[in-house]
Amino acid sequence: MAAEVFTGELLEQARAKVAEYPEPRSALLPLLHMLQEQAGYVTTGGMREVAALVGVTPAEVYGTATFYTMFKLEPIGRHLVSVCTSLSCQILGADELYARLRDHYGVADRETTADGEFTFEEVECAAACGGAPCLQIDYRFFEFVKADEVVDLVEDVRRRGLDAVHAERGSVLAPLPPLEAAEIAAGITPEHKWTPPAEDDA
Amino acid sequence: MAEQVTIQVDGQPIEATAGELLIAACEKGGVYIPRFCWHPRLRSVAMCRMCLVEVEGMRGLQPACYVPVADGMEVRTETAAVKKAQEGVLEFLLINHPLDCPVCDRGGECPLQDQTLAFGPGESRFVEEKRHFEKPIAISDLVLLDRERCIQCGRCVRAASEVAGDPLIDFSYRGNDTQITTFPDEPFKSYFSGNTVQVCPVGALTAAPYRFKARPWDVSSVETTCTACSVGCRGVLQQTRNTPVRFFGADIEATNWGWLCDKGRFGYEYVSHPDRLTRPTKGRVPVTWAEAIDEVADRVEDLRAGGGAAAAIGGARLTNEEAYALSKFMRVVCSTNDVDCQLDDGLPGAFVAGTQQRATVADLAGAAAIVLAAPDLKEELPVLYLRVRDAVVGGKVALHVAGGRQSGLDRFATTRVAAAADFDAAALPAEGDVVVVVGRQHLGQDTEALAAWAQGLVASLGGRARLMPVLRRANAHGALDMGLSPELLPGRVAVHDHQARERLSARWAGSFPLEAGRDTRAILEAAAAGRIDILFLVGADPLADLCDPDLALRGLEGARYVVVIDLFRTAASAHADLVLPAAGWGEVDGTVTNIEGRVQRVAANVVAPGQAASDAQLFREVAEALGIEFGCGTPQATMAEIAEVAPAYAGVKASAFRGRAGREGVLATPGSVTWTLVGDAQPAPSAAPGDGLALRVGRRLYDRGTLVSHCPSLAELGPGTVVCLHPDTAAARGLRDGDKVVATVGEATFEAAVVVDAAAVADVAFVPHAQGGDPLHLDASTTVALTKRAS
Repeated sequence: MAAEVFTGELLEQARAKVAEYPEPRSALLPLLHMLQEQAGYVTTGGMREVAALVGVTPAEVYGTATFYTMFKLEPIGRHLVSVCTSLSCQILGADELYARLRDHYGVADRETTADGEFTFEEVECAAACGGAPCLQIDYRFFEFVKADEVVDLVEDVRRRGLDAVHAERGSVLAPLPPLEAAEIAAGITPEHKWTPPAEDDA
Repeated sequence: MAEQVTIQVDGQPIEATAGELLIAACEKGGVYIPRFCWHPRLRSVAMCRMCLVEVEGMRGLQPACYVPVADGMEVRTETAAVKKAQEGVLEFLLINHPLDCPVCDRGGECPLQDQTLAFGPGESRFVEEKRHFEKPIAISDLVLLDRERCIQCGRCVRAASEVAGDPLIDFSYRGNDTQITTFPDEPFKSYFSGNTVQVCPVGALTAAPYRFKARPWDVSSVETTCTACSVGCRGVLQQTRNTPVRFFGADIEATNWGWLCDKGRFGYEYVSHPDRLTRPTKGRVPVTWAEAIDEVADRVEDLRAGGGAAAAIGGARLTNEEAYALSKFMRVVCSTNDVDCQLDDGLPGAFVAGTQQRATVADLAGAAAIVLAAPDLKEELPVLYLRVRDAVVGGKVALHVAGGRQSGLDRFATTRVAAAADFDAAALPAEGDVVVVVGRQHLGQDTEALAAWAQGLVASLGGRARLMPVLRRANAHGALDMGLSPELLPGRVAVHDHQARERLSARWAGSFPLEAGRDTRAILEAAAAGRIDILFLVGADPLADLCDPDLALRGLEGARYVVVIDLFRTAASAHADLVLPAAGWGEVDGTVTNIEGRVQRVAANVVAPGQAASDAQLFREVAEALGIEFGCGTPQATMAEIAEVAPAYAGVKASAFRGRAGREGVLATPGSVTWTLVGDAQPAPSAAPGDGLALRVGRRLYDRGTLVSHCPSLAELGPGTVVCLHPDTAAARGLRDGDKVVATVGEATFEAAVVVDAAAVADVAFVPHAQGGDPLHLDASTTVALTKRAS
């Protein structure tokens, strides 16, 4: 089967990534990030390609991808709205927040609006307890969100785009080339990038 | 020899082998340590934590499945700390495991149920809701998964990847939703999927054919030998209400290690199929057995008086005892050597029966190298494939593939050549045993040349070579050993062997020719020429299996009187004057002989339908109707007679099958017959002329043959009528996967779907045999032309 995701430059980047590790299979997660960035979600065909690139079975790639909720196995909307409903946020009204969104857009958890614009999901602790209740849109944080304003916030993103809407912090995914974006999503910023230690003569 | 050590377990000394796993050593010493993830035939992973024990000097509890024993090791398996750990593990497992034992197939034979009773806390503190899943999901055509019952031991994952080499299932959705799944668009399509059901320690994996069919305490079981092919896997056949409902593998060191292929595991279904023949019929008219016996006896009497000729084709389905009765009947009563259990699709009978340095399956793992000049083992002898794979995986034993279709074993091969004749023995290691596995690689192959090649290779290697000639059909090896071959007498001796004839004369009151008789082809040629007065087809259908279907038809039409003895109606039975219902596997007691020459017992567990009877009965009764003392009244009596007259089977006595050792069977000893190639081997076929592609027809595990098509669970699993092409060969002809083509072979045409297969050989069209179409006229030079059909 011909590769459809990892071709050309992306294929070279993927191979370089595999070469960074002593064990090829260690590159599984970075390659899944690259796949998701490129294809929008972790596609079945793409997982096969990853399996071939890192030398494990497709079933093992699937087993890994399904462990991480941030890997999407189905297509999602243009924007992903992740509402934290863990304890701190829940105490401060996250359930109400999420209910308002679902009611307004007529969707259930993990569903996408009919126009393909937004996918809503409930997530475990997004680690912004100090700003509870919080939600993320495309992994950018919006803190102290009020139930009465949440629909306006989402509509604002639709109207003006994510960049124009104030966000407390978080990553910017879209404008970066795929590999860097994938690394940022994986929490690997250039200054954190690991380089192998020099060979020790002793 | 590994060092023997003594360990102390709960204060008692236990003898063990150094390095052996503690859990295994304890079990052999009579101390059972509970376990879920550990399985004696799988890699240890220490995942389930059920086997924790105290080991003196080691901090904390240790998993007994991961600790190798050492001399003087002190182990405690029943302390308060161990008990607390066991209760904790079980309480955890039962948090999510449903208590649906009353509706679970595993209930009554469930390791989780049993070990909870023996080692569990008795109470759970968990009051919350358990996990729920849609149930069941089919992870293969034959295996269903109830995910909420799974305890995540991973035995199935390891069985699929380590044993079968089909790593198609794995854990996914790890965390609260951990479950076993396949890759989304890749079903668990494995010939060995049923083994996962067998190793599952709970009711999570169930076999679709057995699900809700019976309760384990309601079945009656016998240990028997599988005859789906000739590997001779041992297993337990279970029946309820006279219907076989399950067959599972028995762990026998010599052969199958507890594993089975799915055809063997689920192939019992035909036994209780409603289409089984249940009464003798003459034309379409039912007759009684007495009438049938009289009629055959009359015919045979005429023949004996008037010098007519009888012949028999088939017998590979029979037990050794039945095959012996057939062999004796043809020689003593019909005075002919015109018997052949092969349909021109195996190896020369004397070559197989005369093998001297014969390899056992266990020799594979101890060899320095294996030379494989055989069919795709996975398709024809699946558990032999497992054992070869086990030997060669990781490079323990060097594998050399000498011709044949590419198979899953090729990636382990040190060398691979396209034809056996091209194999260079210089590639073999200079020292150590070499096992040569030789078998017909595709239908229509010149197997005399192949046999001569194997003989030459073995001779050149001297004493370090072991030969394993492999025939596919159930008891083909046993049938040859019983003399169902024109050139053989019972006991692996030549038909002209005076010593052998002398020995036989004590029991065989009748004369038969010194010269070899006709083989299947020659029998059919003679029949077509009107020279065969009675033709017995014993579990054989030349119309379906002979590579020359025209000859088969002419033969059946030309024979004066055709008697078919079989389980089902076949294409050939339409040409029969008399059709007799046979009792088959699961219905008769006796022995069968496998590819190693290992004689093992088959046991009856159900009563044959209607008036179906053992094939031996017909021959005995006809002989007795003619006033000939025949013997062979019971399988036991026949077994004793065989041991008496056939030296190779002298050790095959009822007493040899008793006890633990008896379950491993008895190896027949080498015979005295020798085989040499007569004339020259045919030259290798030249490249296909013109547009035609060289045609190779081979067997697939699942076909539309008589037995598989009467097993509802297996009948649809075959590939259908397809032509498999290498990607380059397909591309050169503008063909793509799934295209419909009309294939022309000689004067025959058939429609087929194209399968583009990277494992196929370039410029060769591979067509699986018996997938619903008519058999093709085949010889080594047959070609096929493909014409694409507009869709």
